[in-house]
Amino acid sequence: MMEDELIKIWQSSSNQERVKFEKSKLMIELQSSLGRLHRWWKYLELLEIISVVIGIIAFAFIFYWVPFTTVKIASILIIVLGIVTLTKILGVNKTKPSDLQENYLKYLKKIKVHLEAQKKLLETYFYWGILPLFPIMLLFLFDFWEIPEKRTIIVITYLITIVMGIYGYFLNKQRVKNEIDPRITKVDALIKELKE
Amino acid sequence: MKNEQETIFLTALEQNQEKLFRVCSIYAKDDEDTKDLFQEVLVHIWRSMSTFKGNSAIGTWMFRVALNICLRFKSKHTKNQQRFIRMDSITIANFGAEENRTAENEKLNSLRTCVKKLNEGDKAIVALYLEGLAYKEISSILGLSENHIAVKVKRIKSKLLNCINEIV
Repeated sequence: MMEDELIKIWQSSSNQERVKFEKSKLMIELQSSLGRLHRWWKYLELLEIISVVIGIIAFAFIFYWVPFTTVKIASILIIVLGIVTLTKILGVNKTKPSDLQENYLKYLKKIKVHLEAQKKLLETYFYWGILPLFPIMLLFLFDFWEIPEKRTIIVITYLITIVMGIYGYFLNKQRVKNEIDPRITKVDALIKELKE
Repeated sequence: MKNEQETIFLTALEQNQEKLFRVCSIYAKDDEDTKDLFQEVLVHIWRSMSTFKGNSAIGTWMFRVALNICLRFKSKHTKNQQRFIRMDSITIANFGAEENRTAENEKLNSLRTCVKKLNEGDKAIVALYLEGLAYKEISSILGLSENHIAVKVKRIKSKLLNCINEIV
């Protein structure tokens, strides 16, 4: 087989498989698919923001309602932690490549930057998002210790915080190992394959 | 403005639909996957139409968007997105039909099998080369130099010919 034949053979597939579309219906369907996609993207963004906002409102209410000073201080610290978390998540979302017109190599490099930002966020979350929560929770529960009948609840609440924190740590580790790392390896390999 | 965009899009699509479909077929694992990917490519091309500045031919620009979408297609994220793309207006005549497997199409089927065996980097290059794009265009789509493309194409062609000869 001659080399030039390859192109001819490849393009001969259109003799058998013909793409047909109804122009007017296609435009309507494209528009509605795009509408659904936009709504879904907005929903994902909103979900992150709403969950943090609900947390902030809840602790703002506790700040106002509970008379203990340590609870007030802890509530403010939790609100600050929530805002820091949201800012970091939105920061990583901004690195996501949205311009599909980039050349392939540039697009691949941008995907790699985004994946590495995601990886860094998940790997460091334990240190800035989970660990600070433990002393803050101690502070939050400190004044309630004076009420003897609340002590069991305090211990259970604190234990739940610790278990959830450890679970979050391992969950993030799994996400990096199973989702992010394989994709980074794949993108790296692809960049290498193109360049070599 | 929107009507003008629509006309440009539909005209360009008519000229390039089969080429785009073939590019999708390289990255998809089966016939259904190819249709899904093709639909997703169309949605994203239409979405990006407003940003097309005319710096390159619209066909070249469409390939660029298509390749970037093909790259993203296998991720979990886009699998979720696929649920929101439903189009009945597109039909693929004869696609996956048994008559395509007759002897006269043996070469085409062998070529397809061999292209699918290439690594992802080579697939991107060969997808454009087999559509008859000039090295200059391939270089602008992929972001590699023309010389580099020429060397790669030579190597890939030799790999493909060896592979086809083994099958046939």
